[in-house]
Order: sequence, then C-alpha cells, then structure tokens
Amino acid sequence: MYIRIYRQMTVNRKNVTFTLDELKSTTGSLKNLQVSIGSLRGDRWDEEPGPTPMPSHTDLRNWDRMLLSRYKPLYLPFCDLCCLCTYGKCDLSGGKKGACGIGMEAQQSRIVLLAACIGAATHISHARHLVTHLIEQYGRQKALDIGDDTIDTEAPIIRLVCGIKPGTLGDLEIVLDYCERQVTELLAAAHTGQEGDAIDFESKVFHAGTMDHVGLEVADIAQISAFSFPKADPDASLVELGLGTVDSSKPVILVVGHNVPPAIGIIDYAREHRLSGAVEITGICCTAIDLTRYNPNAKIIGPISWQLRYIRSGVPDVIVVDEQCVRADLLGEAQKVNAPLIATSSMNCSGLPDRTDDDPEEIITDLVSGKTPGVLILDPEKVGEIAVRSAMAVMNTRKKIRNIPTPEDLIELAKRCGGCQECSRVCPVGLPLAIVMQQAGQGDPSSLASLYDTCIGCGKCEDVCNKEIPIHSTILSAADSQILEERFNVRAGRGAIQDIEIREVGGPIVLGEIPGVVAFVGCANYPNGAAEVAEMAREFARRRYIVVTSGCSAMAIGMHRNEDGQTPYEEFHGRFDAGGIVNVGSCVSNAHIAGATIKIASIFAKRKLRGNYEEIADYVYNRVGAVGIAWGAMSQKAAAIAAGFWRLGIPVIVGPHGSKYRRMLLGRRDKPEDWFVYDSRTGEKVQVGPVPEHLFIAAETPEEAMTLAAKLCMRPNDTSRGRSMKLTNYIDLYKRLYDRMPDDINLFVRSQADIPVTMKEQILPVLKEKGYTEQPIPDPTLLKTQIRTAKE
Amino acid sequence: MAGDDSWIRAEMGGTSRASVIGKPEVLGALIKRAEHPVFIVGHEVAEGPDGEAISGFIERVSRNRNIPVIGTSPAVRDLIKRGIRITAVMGGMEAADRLRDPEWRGTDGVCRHDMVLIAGIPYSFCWTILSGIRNSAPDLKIVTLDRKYQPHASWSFGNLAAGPWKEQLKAVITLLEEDKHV
Repeated sequence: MYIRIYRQMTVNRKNVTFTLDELKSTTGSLKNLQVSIGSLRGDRWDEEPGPTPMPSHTDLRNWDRMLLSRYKPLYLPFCDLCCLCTYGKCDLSGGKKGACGIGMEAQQSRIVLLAACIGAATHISHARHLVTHLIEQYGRQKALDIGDDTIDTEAPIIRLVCGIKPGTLGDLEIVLDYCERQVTELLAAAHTGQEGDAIDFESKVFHAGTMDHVGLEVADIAQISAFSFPKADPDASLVELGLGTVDSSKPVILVVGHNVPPAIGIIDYAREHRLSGAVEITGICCTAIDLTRYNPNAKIIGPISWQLRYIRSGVPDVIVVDEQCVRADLLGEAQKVNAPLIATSSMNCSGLPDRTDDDPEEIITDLVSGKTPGVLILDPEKVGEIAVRSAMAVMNTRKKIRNIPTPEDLIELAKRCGGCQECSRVCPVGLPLAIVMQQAGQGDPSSLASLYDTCIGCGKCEDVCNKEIPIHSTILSAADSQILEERFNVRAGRGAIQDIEIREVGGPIVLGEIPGVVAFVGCANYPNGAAEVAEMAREFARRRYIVVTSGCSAMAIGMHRNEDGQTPYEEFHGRFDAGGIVNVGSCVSNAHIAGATIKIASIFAKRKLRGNYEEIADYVYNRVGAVGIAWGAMSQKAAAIAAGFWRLGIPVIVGPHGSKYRRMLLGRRDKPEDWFVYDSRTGEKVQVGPVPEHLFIAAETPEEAMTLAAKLCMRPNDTSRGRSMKLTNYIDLYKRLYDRMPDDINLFVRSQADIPVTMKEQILPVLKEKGYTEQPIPDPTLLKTQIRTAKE
Repeated sequence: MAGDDSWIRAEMGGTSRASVIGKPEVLGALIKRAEHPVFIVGHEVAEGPDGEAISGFIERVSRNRNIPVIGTSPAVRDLIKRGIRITAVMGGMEAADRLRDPEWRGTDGVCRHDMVLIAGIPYSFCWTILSGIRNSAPDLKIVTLDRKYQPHASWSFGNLAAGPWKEQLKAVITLLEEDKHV
C-alpha cells in the first residue's frame, strides 16, 4: 500500500480547517478535499494571496541580505569568549575560532539572535496568556474590534506577515501557533553546530523581530477588543502620573509588569463592591499604562526604574506582580515594608506557594498576619479580591512603614562613607555617588538629592557598599520633597491609528512634506535621566514631525513640564498628524507604530498586504520617513522590537547604553556605490544618496540622536519640496546644536529644487566646494520584481 | 584604587587587556612612533573638572604633531572655542566603522590611520567602541587618554586620581614639544 500526498496544507487546528489538494493511495484517490469546522476570517478575505504567507526564516532571506549588504554589522563584542557549551570557554578574539568552529562575528550575531528570540518569545507568550485568558472569558468567537468604524485594516502586521485577516479571538490562536513555531526554529539555529554565518544569523534576527511584531499586535488587538480600551482615540483621557498623585491615606495597591488581567481583576472587584473610591490602584511599567486604558482613574507611578523608590516609600500596601520588567528582588523589598506580595504569572512565581485554589479568607488571613510574605495566584479574578481585601486589612497594621532614612539618619549614614568609589564603579550611569555622599556627611545633602533625576533605580550601589550605606534610599531621602511633587498628566494609550488619519497624512509623509515620523519607545535605562526624552519629543513635535510613543518612554515624556507648566501631552495634540505627540499605549502597542507605516502602503498607496512582506517593506523603506529612538532601551524585548523595525527598513537610534546590544547596522555615506535603487518606471539604476544612512546606531548624546533622526527621515522618494523641508530641519538642528554646517549636505541634494530657499546662501557654497550630482527622483525600489519595464 | 582593572567593575571582556601607561615617556613614545594617528574626542572633554586638562592636551598635541581630530558630539563647539581644530565630525560608532575599513583613507584623505587616541567618550560607550575596533581592526593601536582604565584599548592610563593624571598629560606635552628622545 502506498499513500502519496500532493500539496497538502493544514491551516488551522483550533478552528479545524483541513485542505488537501490531492491524495493518492492503492485504495483510491481524493482531490480537492476541504474540511472546515468553524472558520477563519482570512479564508473569506478576497485579496489575492501574496508570495510569502506565514514565511519561514528563509523565505525573506533575500530581502534581509539586501538590507544587510547596505547596512553592514559592526560587532562590539561584550565578551570575547563563548561559554555556551562544554567545549569552552573558547576565546574568539584575534581571529581565533571556537572548538565548534564558530568565529567572533558569528558568535556575536548568535548572541543578538538569542536576545531577539528571548524578546520575541516574551511578547508572544504574553500574547498567548492574554488570548487564552480572554477566550476563557469571552469565547473564541469574540469579535476583534480596535477602532469601531474608524478602522478597516484592523491587523496590518498579521495580514502582511501571516496572510490572514483575523476576525475573532480564536483566529489569533492560529497566528500564535505560527509565531511559536518560528521562534522555536530560530532558537534551534543558535544551538552549537547549527548556523555559522554572521549574516544568516542576522537574517534570523530580523525574522525574530517580525515574529515579535506579530506577537505584539496579537496581544494589543486582543486586549483592546476584550477590555474596551480606547479604540484609536486621539482624544483618549489624560490620566495621572507620578508618586505625588497617590492618596496615601487610602489603602494602596501597586501592580507591576505588563500583562494586565490581574490588575483589571483588581479594578473590577473594587468596582463591583463599591470600593473604587476607597482604594488607590497604582501601577509601574506597562501594566500601569494598560490599567489606565481600562480605567482612567488608576494612576501611573512611573517607568520600570520607579520600583525601588515607590516600594521603599512605604505607600503601597499590597504589591501585585505579573510578568516582564519586574525586579527579581521585589519579594525581599516588599517584606522590608511589610507589604504582602501577590505573584500572578507562571512567568514569575517568585518562589511563592501556589494558593490559586485555596479559600480567599485563608489566603487573606495568612497575608495580613504575615504568616506568608506572599502568594502565587494564577486566577486574575481571584487576585482582584485578594489584593483589594488584603490592602484594606493590612493598611492599619503596617502603618505605611518606610524603608527610607529620615533626614537626620541620612546625615549619619553618609558620615560612614570612606570615599572608596565602589558605588560609582558599579553605577550604570556613572553617578559621582561617593563625592556627593561625603558632602552629605558634612551636612549638605543637596547634591545627593540632585542625583534623583538621573538615577535609574537599579540599587547596585547598595550591594557593593562595604559601609552598608543604603545608597539608593539616601538619594530618596534627600529628594523626598521633590518626589511628592511628581504630579503629571499623560494621555492614555490610544491604540491604533485610524484609517482616515492614514489617508490624510499618507501623501504628506510619502512625499516628504511632513518631515517624518519619530517614535520614542523602549525602556528607562537613560544615560542622563528622562528629561532628555521629553526634550527630544518636544523638539520634533514643534518642528511638525509626527511624534509617536509607547511604554516607559511615553511616561518619561509626560514627566516634564514646559515653562507654562504643561506636560507635552497638554501642549501637543494626540492625532497622528504633524505636530502631534501620540501615545499608542504599552510595549505591545508598538505594533500600531509599525502597523501605521504598513497601512500607509496599504491604504494610501493601495499596495496589497496579504502575505506580501517584501513589497511592503520595500515601500516603507523607500518612502516612509520614519525613525525610532529607544533612548533607554534595556531589554531583550526592546531588541526584538527594534529587529522588527529593521526588517521593515525603519532605522532605530539607541542611547549610549544601547551599544551594549553589541552590534550596529551602519551604512557608509562615503561609498556612493552602496546607494543605488531601481527606478521602477524604467528599470534604471539611480544613485539616491545615503537615505536612510543607518539602520541601527547608538548615539552618544541626545543632540547627536536628534540630528541623526532628522537625517534618517530622508527617503529616496522625497519630492523636492519634501526633501527641502527635511533638509531645513536637519541643517537647522545641526547648526543650532553643533554651531556649524553639516558636512554631508551635498549627498542629499539631488537638484537645485531640493535646496531650502531660506538656506540657499549657506548651502550653495558647500555644494560648490564639495560638488554634487544632479539626479532624477526615481520611483524607488530595491526589488527587481517591482520594475514595471524591466531592462535587466 | 587598583590601577589596571576595568573602572566599571563588571566590564571584563576577555583574555587580553590594555597595557598600562605607567609614565609619560610611554605615551610620548607611542605618539611619536605613530605614522598617521587620529584623535577621537567625545563630549565629556568639554565637561567637568577634567575637561580643561584633556582638551588642553589635545589642542597642544594635535597642533604640535599635526594630528587630525574627530569630534563625536556637539561638544565640538566648545572644543573649537578651546582652540582645537576639528577635522571631521562623526558619531563614535561611525568613526569605529570607518576605522575597521582597511581601505578608508582617514579623515584627511592621506592614508589609513594606524593609531587612535580616544578621550571624553562616556565609559561604557567607549568600552564597546574599543571592543569593536579591537576585534575588527586588530592591527590598529588604540590609546585611551582618560583617567579610567579601559581594558579593550592597546594602551590605557590606569585608574588615576586627577592630580597625577594631569601631571602625566603635562609631561607628555612637554616631551613632545621639546621633541626629546623618548
């Protein structure tokens, strides 16, 4: 007996769809068999399928290699050794290979791949947790709705990458199945004896980024649909931000992390039991952002770096942690202020006993009495009850005990400092801790207080102090009055960009008349405090760029007022339009930033989306002047998010700590041969200059980042009017910040019409000195397949 | 404090480490022997109590030895005010990318640089740049001029207090300007 199957495809094991083109066996044959129980919306999508639905990591390899031939990796080994197998450690420096044969460049790109896989896996598993929970609550048929009637293209990334049009929560399971499969394969490629080529590793990094973006989109469209978060609302509520907004006379609950269902359980329990006004519900990191998307009365304390300072303040009575960006030592910190801790995620059990199935009365009694410092509860609704009731019960017994020294104690502690500088030598920001501590010991804590804004709150200084000075807490003590003044407004995450907004700005962006889209994203590992992010965002909004933001960066932007006392969210509008500052939401809402660029190709340019990745990425790369700035990027998730943008051809700038991602993707403006595109109308190769010059670069200062961002918004497709506007911004910024003309203007001028009228007198001498070549403005593409009249 | 351990404690990259510039004659000799060196100068040169000493060093030595200077940040404004002639402005990462290219003919178009003298770039950022250059251009000599030990350089000052470090810089200037045999 034999069985031969031709072109078999299993589409969907959750909704059970099975398609078989042809099967032959000794007992007979079958043709065009289709079985469907339930359905996938994608099956009813009448757009013609593109070439790469649900691509494997090799399906887009050619596109990746095209980008990587222009933006060659510069590796910055964080460690010269490979320690991943028992052959090692192997020293790979000086051209040496490891016992497995791997060289330094491949090893570094392998580590980048591991980071990107960790990041992508984290978002995808977050999405899986959400979707599973929401399906349990609302069922597989719960419709996806992220913009009421303002959005038709509700999942641009999923449509583009997976080639399906998800309509229900159940459809998202299929998408996640695909992502999980891909990330597993990518991770496998990092095993000893698998991939050995640096550029192929990099291509896999890009694929991990694409999977990450799909996971982000799944997570956010699921939670927007199920929890009725703001639906693409440019006027989403202003919500309160800052430690000073908390009414500490009430029981206070703190939620930390990214996966919002337990926090929503808390809000719901309080609401159902008429306790909403009696309990303060506060959050740190992305859970806080998503919490305020659900209930604008909740309060955001601050980004990831606010964990120690808030808990040590003694204000929160109960601490609830879910997943991602939660400090590993929070249980110990909570114990120091007698605050019970509730872990709620399988990702972070904190060594606590699983009490999910226990009687709530028993759990609350154990937490309030201190019999157990914390519990693991894997049921979000139950978390709601336990957290609210425990907070109310424990508040009076713990009496808001603080773990911050009094001003008098601070001086005494500071006197211990011997000036050894071990604290400064572990400080990621390089703060002059020993110097200011000695000043405090002499009775002047003002310099110690001044470190509050730049301290990233890691607490490493305390662990190395051989005089056992609680250094971070002394900073908090010195800055006590400033902390209480932290009261700001931030616009709640609006979610996606409306289709009508895309229609209105698509043309001006693609033609260059809106000078660019600048996205401030990522974590809070700032080299010099959050104020730099706020200032950069203000600068670009004033210049009529579209500023989008998310996560900890969105908070950072909200924490700085202008001269009139307004935060940027009060100063600028929230529409996806020139001069706006648009908070899309939490980390997973970054999907809407990538999605907006994809929707420009789809809605404005009417390019087909369905499984059509290369063409859309080529469009975005050559036409959409977008750039990301992740000034405090810290995590593997940030690496994965960036990788997704790189593959779409969107450059990312990181702050100086971002160099620790250990590889840059840099173009060479001094090599004209690198900067050709095809004119899709004629097939001619056209020199377009270094636009955009880099795909991934770490900047030393915010000034460097700003001038880079203005430059990296230029695209081959810019009209002369658009290029002139972009040059105006680039040159004006550069002149103001560097006090001189940039030396590369000639590379961006394609004709006299590109020269800004108001700058002609300054630019013409530069062009005369350096020379420039008149070039036509092409209909640019890197893909031969996009040439309408092929000449090659 | 120990002289030749990485200033930021955890930043230990591998099996080889920078040699310590123990006396001015060493740095003087290194600069004299270099055929086509280049300074890369970051924004910290224009800041803080150390700024004047190091910017003065760069100004005098770059003039005396005709060494081009790359400024990596808007601090070039202040460097120019302090009399330093800036040959090119480019980010630290861009500079590292050029330096690894054996065909790059330097900021002045003459020939490839054979020595890089780095100062004023934030410690961790500098650490990664040095690691990149060291691994991709192993034939290039890298000398760091700040007073914190950088293990990825070829030569670095140890972790020094401000006074002795400034004295060493002064002594090197004198050696080079007097063109003594070193």
